[in-house]
Amino acid sequence: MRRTVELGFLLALSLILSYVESLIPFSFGIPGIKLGLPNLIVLLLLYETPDGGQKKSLHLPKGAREALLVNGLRIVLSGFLFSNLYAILYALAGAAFSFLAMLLGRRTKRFSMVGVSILGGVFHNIGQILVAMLVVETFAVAYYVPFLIVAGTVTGALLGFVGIQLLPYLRRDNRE
Amino acid sequence: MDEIDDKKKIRISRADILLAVVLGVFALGLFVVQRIGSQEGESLVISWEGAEVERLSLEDGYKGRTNDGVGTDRTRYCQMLYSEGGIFFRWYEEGEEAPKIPEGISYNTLKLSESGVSMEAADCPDQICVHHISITSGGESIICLPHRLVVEIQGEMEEDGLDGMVQ
Repeated sequence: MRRTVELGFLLALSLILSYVESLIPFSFGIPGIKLGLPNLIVLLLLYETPDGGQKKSLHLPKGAREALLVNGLRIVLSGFLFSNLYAILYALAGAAFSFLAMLLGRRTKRFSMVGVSILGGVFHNIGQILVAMLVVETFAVAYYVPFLIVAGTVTGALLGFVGIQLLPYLRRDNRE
Repeated sequence: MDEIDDKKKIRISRADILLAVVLGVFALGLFVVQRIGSQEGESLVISWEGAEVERLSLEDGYKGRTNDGVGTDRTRYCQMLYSEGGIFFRWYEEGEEAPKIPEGISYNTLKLSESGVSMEAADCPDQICVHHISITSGGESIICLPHRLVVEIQGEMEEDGLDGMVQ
């Protein structure tokens, strides 16, 4: 029960981050570039429990399952609150790619939160580009790929640093 | 490094830095390859729902030329209206009054000016195409996903690409 409440709080927080992000004009004229603030919650949930999951196992650790739940709900809710159904599909595609990359990155146990967050940022953008290619049936969007990789790396690294600062508080909170 | 207790701070690992460097180099390489491949824009191609619907020559600059070959000195606008499962074009020039957009009809308005091609207005929900920077050289594009519209500047499409690059 207590965990349900905590996840509810994190969901509310990620919704606020979605909203804050929608207020910040941060695109530099290139579509797809954004800070990815809500990904901070996914990152923290992935790292909150020390279990990063085993290599070569399909079992999802508890943190990953919770992250999937919170982020899925966040996308659907923020989509209906701040944008439209159409944006939800793009967000889901980006989130699925991003999540998979972060999960695998975490499992290798070679990266810190910064590296995993970079993987998340870059693959979020790649996922969205792929969906865009399918929708408009063109490869013209491939032109954006270098910019989106750099943007994903920079924003991912920034969020990773923030995550490192915040994680100890989240873990301490759960022990008491 | 991973299974830490709270007293120890998580440190950035060597793999993190390596990842960032590899991604940076990869992106730079891709960018350079694209730049080398790109040429002066020869034509402006408008595609809708995956099919080319209009091709304009950019030989006289970004203002383009209509299919009847008439050029102009003034900034030009192109309204693209989506109606009854089709796309319709309406052109007007700077200084002229913009044709009124009928109620309930989706549209994009393209601007062709001295400094390049940009999206002047659209009624799509995300407005990403409108905020897009102007495009100027071959390979660049503006895309309106909600309306499934692609506006792309294409370089010379000849088999012998070297001629196009030397010019």
